[in-house]
Amino acid sequence: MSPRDPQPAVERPDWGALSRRRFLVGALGLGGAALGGIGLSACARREAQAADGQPLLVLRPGEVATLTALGEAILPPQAGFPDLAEAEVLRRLDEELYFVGASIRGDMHAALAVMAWSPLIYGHMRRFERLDAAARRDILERMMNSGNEILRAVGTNLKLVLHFMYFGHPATWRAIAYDGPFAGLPPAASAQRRHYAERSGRELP
Amino acid sequence: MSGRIHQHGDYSRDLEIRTDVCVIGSGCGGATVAKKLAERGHEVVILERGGYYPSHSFDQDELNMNAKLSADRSLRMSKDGGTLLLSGNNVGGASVHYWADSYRTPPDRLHLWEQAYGISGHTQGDLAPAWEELTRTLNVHPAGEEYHNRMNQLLREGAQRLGWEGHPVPQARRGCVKSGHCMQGCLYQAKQSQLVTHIPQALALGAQLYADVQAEHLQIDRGRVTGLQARVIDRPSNRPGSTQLRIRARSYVLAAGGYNSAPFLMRNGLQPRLPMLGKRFGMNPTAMMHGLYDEDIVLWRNIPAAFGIEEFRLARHADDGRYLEGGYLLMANQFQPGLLGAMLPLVGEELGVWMSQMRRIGGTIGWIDDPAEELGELKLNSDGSTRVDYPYGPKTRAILKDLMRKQAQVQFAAGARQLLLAGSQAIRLDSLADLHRIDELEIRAGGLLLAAPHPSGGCVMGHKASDSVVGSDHRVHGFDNLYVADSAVFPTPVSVDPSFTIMAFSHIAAEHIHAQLG
Repeated sequence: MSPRDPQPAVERPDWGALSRRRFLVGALGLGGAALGGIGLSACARREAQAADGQPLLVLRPGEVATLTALGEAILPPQAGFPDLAEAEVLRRLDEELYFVGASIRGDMHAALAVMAWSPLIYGHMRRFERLDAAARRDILERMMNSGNEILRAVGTNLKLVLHFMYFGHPATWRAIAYDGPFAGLPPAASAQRRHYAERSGRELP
Repeated sequence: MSGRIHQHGDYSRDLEIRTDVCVIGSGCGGATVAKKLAERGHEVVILERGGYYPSHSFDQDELNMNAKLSADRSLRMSKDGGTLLLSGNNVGGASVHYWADSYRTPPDRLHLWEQAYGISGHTQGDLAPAWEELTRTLNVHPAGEEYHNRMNQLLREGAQRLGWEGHPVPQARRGCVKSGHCMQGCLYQAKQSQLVTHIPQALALGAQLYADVQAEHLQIDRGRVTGLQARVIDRPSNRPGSTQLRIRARSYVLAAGGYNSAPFLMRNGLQPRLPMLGKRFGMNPTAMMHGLYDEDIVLWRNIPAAFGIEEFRLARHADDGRYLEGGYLLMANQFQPGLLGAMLPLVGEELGVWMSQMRRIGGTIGWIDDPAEELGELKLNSDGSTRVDYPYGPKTRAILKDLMRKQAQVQFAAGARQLLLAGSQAIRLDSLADLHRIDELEIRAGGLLLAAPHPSGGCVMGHKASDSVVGSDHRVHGFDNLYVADSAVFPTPVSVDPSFTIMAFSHIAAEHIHAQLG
């Protein structure tokens, strides 16, 4: 039982209310940039799409660009491993975020804003997705090992959720010689999976 | 007459329910106390925020089952962003995804709670009848040889080479088929979770369970709870709906779990009356070490923890009080591929190299016994959500470092070719000569990839409101009819997997509630 937090229908990052995020932005000297990024994303409000061409319900276009750039940098490049789109990573992440508490969604939006503008901290005057893959990997590793608690949390947790969604997808299993669920049953579509699929205009397999 | 499970599609209008006992939560604490009170002939209603997923609906898919069984889909973190907070959100609570390790509370811990925290009525002798009944009901027995997968065999061999004490871990299972999907829920009903034991037993005795219902407001008249307002969750969207349940009960039992019970009382404005609310919070942080072996390990099959190293369960100190070593349980780890990929501190090509060898990846995990002097606190954010503030004090950091060192020692003794510390830095160890890399490691939030599946405290048991939230009768101080029956009452963590202690304590709680009901 989890007597939980109320969830408003639409959440935006509540930077004013959460001192941790305020500290995060201020301490990094990224206030203008990050808030600008958030503002642009919020103002644009154009619909983000996954690789399947259907709308995403939580992630925004700028965030999709950041996550795609991050994914390209950290997924295994070897032959046999699927890419971000084949493993439906952003689609699944969007679905998970749709169902979690509002504060977690807010944290994810804030983390992605920090990641998008993190190159400024490391001497690059452009957004994360405009760097080459090696530079993105370098920045991620520097964040994960940063002396700053928030940068460490952003880097480590974004890596963690992307890899969780990626290797949880059957498209990756052949490359890692994983024989799949023991019973070999087809995936069961829960009420929530069906709800999300319907809202995002997709059909579940 | 048998009770039944009501769920989201069943609630077409507001309901008012009268009953003897309202239990909030259906995990190890709530299901057990509900069953015991139903046995005593009381009318019992159980409220569960999460959904009802019967075993036959389990598809063993790692992501699908995480979505059904884990609160906030395992994406909740501590305040510092450094620890993954794991708990259940479904009928049966965390027991549906737990490992079924069923240790009785160590006598030294019960003695500590009695002597240092003034808890009465929870000694070994007091709990003995509960242990006997639970052992029978849940078929608790030491893991047999056939349930030791290769990693557990190697762990045992390593421990024996090092002269460390360890034993087969007591398991709550019946007819296990070794699928390796304990964390995805047991399709075979072999794992004796609350979903297949105490809940159906309580229903058979007439209890009613309302799933997809979020407890919200306690109506309080001085020292008495007179009602509870709850809201139906629209399960497809996982958002609160407009339908309400109003419960009128003679007694209310809070068993929402270690992450939720104290925050629920805080949201009901009880912090001023109960200053210890949220305090003395522990969570058994777990640290992991991955190993690459020269043989197939297949870490994802059979039961997770068949063999446990208990040599270091209690911390050891020098005569001057200085910490020396220990303060954790050490076991074989188990992963399906999603979690393994997430927990490997690698990216890109290196990650591909390791994951391509997944069959040969083994690993260990340790649950630290949070030091009593460095416990954390549960608080509320301004929006009412829960914040877990856990300090990782100097002793906790020393224990974590020693745990990593011991995991390296035992895995090398077991034949690991290379080790990889589960942290943000990809620290590799090729032999014992590399142990200094652990010594040099700065333990800090986000530095290790930590998970916390065993919350405790926040509504600790003790004498009076200045030192605790509940008394030894599990009753909230200052209330006639409000009780807590879950891990939130533990004054310190248990030092072993807490599920069996939660259930045994719930037996005691049920007796006190029965006495109050008359």
